[in-house]
Amino acid sequence: VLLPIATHFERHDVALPWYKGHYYIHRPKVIEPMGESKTDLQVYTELCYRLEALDPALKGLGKRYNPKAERNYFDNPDAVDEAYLVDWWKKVQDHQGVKMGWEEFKRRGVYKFTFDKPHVAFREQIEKGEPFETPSGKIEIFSTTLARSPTGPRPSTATRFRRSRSGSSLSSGWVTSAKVKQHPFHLITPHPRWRTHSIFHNIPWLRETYQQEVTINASDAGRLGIATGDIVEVWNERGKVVVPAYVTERCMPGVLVIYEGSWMDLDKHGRRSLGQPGLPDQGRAQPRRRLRLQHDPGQHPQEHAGASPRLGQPGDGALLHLPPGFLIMTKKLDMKQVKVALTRKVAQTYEPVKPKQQLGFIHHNVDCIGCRACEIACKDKNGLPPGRASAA
Amino acid sequence: MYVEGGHYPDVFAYKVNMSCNHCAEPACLPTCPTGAIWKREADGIVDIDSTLCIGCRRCEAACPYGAPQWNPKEQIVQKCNMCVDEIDAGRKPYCVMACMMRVLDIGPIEALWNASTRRRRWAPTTSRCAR
Repeated sequence: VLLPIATHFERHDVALPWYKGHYYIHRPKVIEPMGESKTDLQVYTELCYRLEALDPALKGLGKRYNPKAERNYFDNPDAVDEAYLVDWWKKVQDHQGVKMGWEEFKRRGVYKFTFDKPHVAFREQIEKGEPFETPSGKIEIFSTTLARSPTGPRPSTATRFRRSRSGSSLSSGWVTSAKVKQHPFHLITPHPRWRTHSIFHNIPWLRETYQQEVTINASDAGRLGIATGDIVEVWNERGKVVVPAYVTERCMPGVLVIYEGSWMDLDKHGRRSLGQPGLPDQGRAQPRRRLRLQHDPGQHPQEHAGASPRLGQPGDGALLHLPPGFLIMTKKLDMKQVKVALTRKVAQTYEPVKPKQQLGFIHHNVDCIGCRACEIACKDKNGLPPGRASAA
Repeated sequence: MYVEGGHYPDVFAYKVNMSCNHCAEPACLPTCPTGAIWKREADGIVDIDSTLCIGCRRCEAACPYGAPQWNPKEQIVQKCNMCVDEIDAGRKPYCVMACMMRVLDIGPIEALWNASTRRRRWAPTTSRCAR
């Protein structure tokens, strides 16, 4: 039996940020659960009531499992969920010295703990020299516990990877496997910032904030003749991926980076083209458009001729000997307005405006994480579609 | 805009949010053949009147910062106007409101220069709270 479970957008809850953290987050129910989905607690509560009906030994199971709920919890959990959270918040207030009330916490959305001094992980070990809870009392990269276990020691990192005497570069022999001759690159696949593993890969607004690409060090790329934006194939005997390259000095020589979790898209050769549907990356791989009126079906399918009343029909181009598919603009302007505007322009050109107050942007780029939420918000406000800006 | 440099292992990287600088003497303004671009007297914001833009893209070529951008669907050039409607309503632009790290803000330019503006906004706490 597969039961549809509500997402955290569809239930009222609180959370600690992953992993731990010094604040609580309020997670209100944003929408009612979609379709027939219910929260875990609703499902388990209902299951308890139904089991109770089947077996006299289980009498009162529903109420024991979910004491605050009646049977109608399955249809409307809101009041009960709120009651549990209020109780929980009371515990937080008592145990953790929180003075903020539940209603205030809900209103603010976040409760952040303040400390007298900055939190330092392993402060006791660092400052007082207290031992860690390991046999040696130190942070163990080679686990002495595992080494003494009945199943025998597991191969340690130290035996699988050995730093070469000659240098720190992986390509100069850190990895001692014989396969290194055929496979000179070490591929790492970190968690992406732009999705949760594979979840949200298909969200256009998130897809616009990154490029699924392979990161390669500039000296490696130079040796192979690869430039940023080139479509490259990365392979070993397990499979292949086809992705645009991103050439940078910020990647260690001999290491490639491809973020995990993008959706499978096999081409006819059995290669995974991770970057779909932007493959090849149109923003980078296509040459710059030379003519501003050229129709670009790839970027804006909805912009076909005639879609906008401001655009002429393709046939109009014949007068100017333009090939089919070219558009001409036929915007009608109010010449009175233009005259006023031109007067203003001439005045502002010869005598720059001295505004009463000049507003400006300030951006503290030290703390900027490059999430591009500002760009998405701008596009959202101005009704611009997700996707890269025109490749013009 | 993402900036990086140096050579491995001595590298650096940072991001710059530069939508439009709303210049004192905008390079885009004199290039507009219809006078669609103007600078507001009240707050110095440089805006384009979309109803007058004919999409000639001269401003796009003139701006050294790439602020005016071509909209192929509308066949006009658009640029950041610091969300003038939000400003006029006493609020801040969408980009500022969306910034989850609270690193982006607007303010009078003198205040930004002498750093008298609030440098950074914090998530609400018991002790300090951004209203």
